[in-house]
Amino acid sequence: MMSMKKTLVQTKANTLSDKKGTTGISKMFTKRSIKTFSLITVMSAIVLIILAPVFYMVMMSFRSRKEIMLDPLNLPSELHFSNYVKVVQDMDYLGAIINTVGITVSSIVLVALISSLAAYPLARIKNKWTNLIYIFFMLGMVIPPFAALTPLYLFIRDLGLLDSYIGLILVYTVGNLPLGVFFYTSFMKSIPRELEEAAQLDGASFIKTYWYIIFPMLKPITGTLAIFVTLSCWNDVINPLLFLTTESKLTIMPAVLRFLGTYSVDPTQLFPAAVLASLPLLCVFIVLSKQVVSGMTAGAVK
Amino acid sequence: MKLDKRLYFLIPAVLLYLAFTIYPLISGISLSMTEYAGVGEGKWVGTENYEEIFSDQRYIQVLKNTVFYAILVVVFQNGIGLVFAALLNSLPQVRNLFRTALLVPSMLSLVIAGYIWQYLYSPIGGGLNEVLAAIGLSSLQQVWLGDSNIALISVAAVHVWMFVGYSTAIFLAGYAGISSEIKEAAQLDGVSPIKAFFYIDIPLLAPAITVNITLATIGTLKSFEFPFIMTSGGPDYATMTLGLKIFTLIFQDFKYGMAAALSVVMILLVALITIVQNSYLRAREDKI
Amino acid sequence: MKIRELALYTGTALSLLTTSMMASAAKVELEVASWKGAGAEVSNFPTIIKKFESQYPDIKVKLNYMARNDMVTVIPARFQAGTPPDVLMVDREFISHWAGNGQLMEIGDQDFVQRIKPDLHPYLGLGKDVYYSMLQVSGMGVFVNDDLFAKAGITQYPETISEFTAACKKLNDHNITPTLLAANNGGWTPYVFFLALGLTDGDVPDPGRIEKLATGKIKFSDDQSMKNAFEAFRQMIDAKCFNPKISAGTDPWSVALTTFQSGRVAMLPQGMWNVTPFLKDELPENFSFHPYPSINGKNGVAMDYIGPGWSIPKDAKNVDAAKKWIDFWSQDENLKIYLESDISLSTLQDGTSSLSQLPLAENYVDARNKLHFVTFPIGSIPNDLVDHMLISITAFMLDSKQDYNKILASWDKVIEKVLAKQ
Repeated sequence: MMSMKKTLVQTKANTLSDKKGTTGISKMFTKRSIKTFSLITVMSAIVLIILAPVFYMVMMSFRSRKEIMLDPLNLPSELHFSNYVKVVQDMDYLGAIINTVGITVSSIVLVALISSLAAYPLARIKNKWTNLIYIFFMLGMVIPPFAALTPLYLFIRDLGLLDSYIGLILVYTVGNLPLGVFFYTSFMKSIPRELEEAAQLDGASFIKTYWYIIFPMLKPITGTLAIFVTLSCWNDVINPLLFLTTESKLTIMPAVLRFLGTYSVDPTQLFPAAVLASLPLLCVFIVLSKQVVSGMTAGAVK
Repeated sequence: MKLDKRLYFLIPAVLLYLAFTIYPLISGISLSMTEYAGVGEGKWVGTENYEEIFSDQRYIQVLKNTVFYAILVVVFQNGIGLVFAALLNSLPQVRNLFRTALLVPSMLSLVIAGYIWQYLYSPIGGGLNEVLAAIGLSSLQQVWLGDSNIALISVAAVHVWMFVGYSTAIFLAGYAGISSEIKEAAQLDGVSPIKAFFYIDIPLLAPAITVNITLATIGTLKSFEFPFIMTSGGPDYATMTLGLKIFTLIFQDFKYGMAAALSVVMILLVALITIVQNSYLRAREDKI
Repeated sequence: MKIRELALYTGTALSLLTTSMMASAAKVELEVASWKGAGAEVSNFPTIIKKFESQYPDIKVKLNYMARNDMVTVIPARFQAGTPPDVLMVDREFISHWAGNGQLMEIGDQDFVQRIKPDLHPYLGLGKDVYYSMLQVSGMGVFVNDDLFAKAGITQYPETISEFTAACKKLNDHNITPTLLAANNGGWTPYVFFLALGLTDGDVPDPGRIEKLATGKIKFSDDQSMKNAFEAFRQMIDAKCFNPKISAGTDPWSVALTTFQSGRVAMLPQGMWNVTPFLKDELPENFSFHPYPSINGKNGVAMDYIGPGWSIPKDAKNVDAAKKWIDFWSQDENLKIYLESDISLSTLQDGTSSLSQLPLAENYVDARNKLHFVTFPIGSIPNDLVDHMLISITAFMLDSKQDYNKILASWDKVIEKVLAKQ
């Protein structure tokens, strides 16, 4: 820490002395821009390499079976949209997307409501019990979803909720509950209490205070939560396969897997199906990238 | 003492959590003492399943694989992510664009990424080997998924590929919190960028490092999708992870009791590792 | 309050009335759960369903297509919930799990049993109980790229391992990769190849061998044929017939197929079900299908793969319609429509086998007819042993210098353990 302060002081001196010699600065500038340029080039190359598999997926999706076999790396000779037509025809694509969106949105709403409600007392009341309950919820973050899968399945079965949307939404809601409690509690702690206290002095009940004062302030962190829940619902395979059995109820990822079939994987079906399944989420991500990125990291680094 | 009315707000969350997480977890412990095939009645076997886990060479290998996989991913995903973040932090012109681009793989489904890489890794006509041949590096060609010495590394590499952008984004958020004055000061002071990275950036990024390491550890210890799609745990068990083993026990072998026992072991492992790790990282943060 | 109650009662009564009226007027909806009939394998199902519905106008078929692997999760859940489909596609593995747990109906009294070839009767269920009507016998063997064989000057398909290694040498001399034992994702190809070698104990293999091995009557470690099978693997590896590592890294269900189709390897051990897609793609241009080379006999050996078929869950709602469905499929005129699209052997006595009509499979069919065949032992070997064998055979392929006697002894141990549990 000490050394850092020292450097700070020295910098000011340096900047002052530098202002005298303009040649020095411009020299440094060109040297700097060359360095920047080469760094940008290196980073662009790295980014392209990292994106290459995604391009590969898109390219493969437009190739005919023969092309995939005989010449796996070249660009497709012509765009075989027929691959896509076949996938959309054979798989209930739109239906699966609608199911996924419906299940995701319901889960987000439920998680946001239930966990923000719980976070209110956890953030505001400081005693042994609330602390214990908080830790109790945090345990849920380290429990792998697998660990309780078998008993959870048997429990949902006993409730008669197998093959119902409600069953799956409940599973997602509870699965994301610890994350929601974690996000909301730490966020609420950073909100000043004055407003609530003023409302309470005015005679507002806790419910009213929560609903009119606290909840509206939670928008940014709710965005973060929504992103995490969306990613976990959209790309999940196991839970829908377990808890939904009717084909028309399936969400997108298991629908793709089911569509791919049993004895062999046909690349002319695999790749277009993969593109179609990823596309909606990718589009949303690219359009809203700024919000998504700030949301994803907001919960992580306070 | 009068009960604070706000405590009622906890009821829905606690009830749901008890019913759908804690109850299954506890009944999982009793299930782990049985032999149960999914239909009909289970048979009580006591601690037999646990004894098998800790005496059978195969299960011990599964535990080793899982830990090795987690270490590989945590180290490389965060190491590379940190370097990327440091580079991007010094390149404000392209920072946002590249950060978004790096995040694209993490928007894919694990299953789909697994399929793509299975094709890229294919030893005959696979994308990776063909590219190596095209740039004159045929000597580096490998049977990525068929060589038991490197198969687990190949699978872990896909995990790193997919989530390195996520680590980068979190580190960049950490960088945003470092005041630019300190950095500039060091630079003008003639501190080499590499030195500055180790002595200024890394200590100041401590919270981001904690978050990244914790998330990556939890994420890898329970993952099963990549080995499931790319190798089914082979060759010769080289890529069989805890998650995948539980999955195959349920869905292929119909051994629900054994799967529950292995799940209990998994919870203990994950909890142990994250608690130890977290207390170490938090202590380290406080020191700085 | 009273009025509301009244309304409630009338409402319930009305709705009960209408549903019962509708039920009597409406057709029976027969739910058929199947992993064939849509997606990648349409298999002429639409034609067959149409024909069935016109023959039984009071039945409407609802085909519930799902991948076979999904059935593992979906069907037990529906058994437990008491709402299984009316007709269920099963294979030997499912029979052993589900019939073993009492979830399937015994249907030995149905007429179809008499129409099925007697040598297949032992495979229709568990013990003496019949649980399904088998639709087809598929098979596994070796696909050959005829053009590559011609290029290397090979005129005769190798029937024994020594002929096979000689062929490998010729192919290697012409820079052609002889074969590929794709073992990624579970080690399937080497396992099947190994069984074809090891279950064969002479020119006409004893079909009871697998039963004796699985029940410990013959020990793997005492069995010369099994030892020879490992020797055969060694000889093939020494003759560079395949590269073990490349094989271990190749997926048998996707990449291996395209590798063979694109002419990168001369031979590919795979299932008969690939004949249809290969013909459709016209790749490779000229190919043929043969039995496995043998080490314990002088003739190649075909491997029967007991195919899927229809069963009825014990809680099925429309049992009569389900029985009609099964009976319909076991008529040659109907079954052959299915077999046309999914090339295989018919299970019916004097049934029309689509495979027999193809010249490219002449050698295979010939071997099968001369009883040079073994049956792929799904459901006959305990699952624990299957897992163990899959892994240790791939491990041996990757390190063929290890002592196979130890591997065989470890298999005996698994059998002992399983027997002790029973």
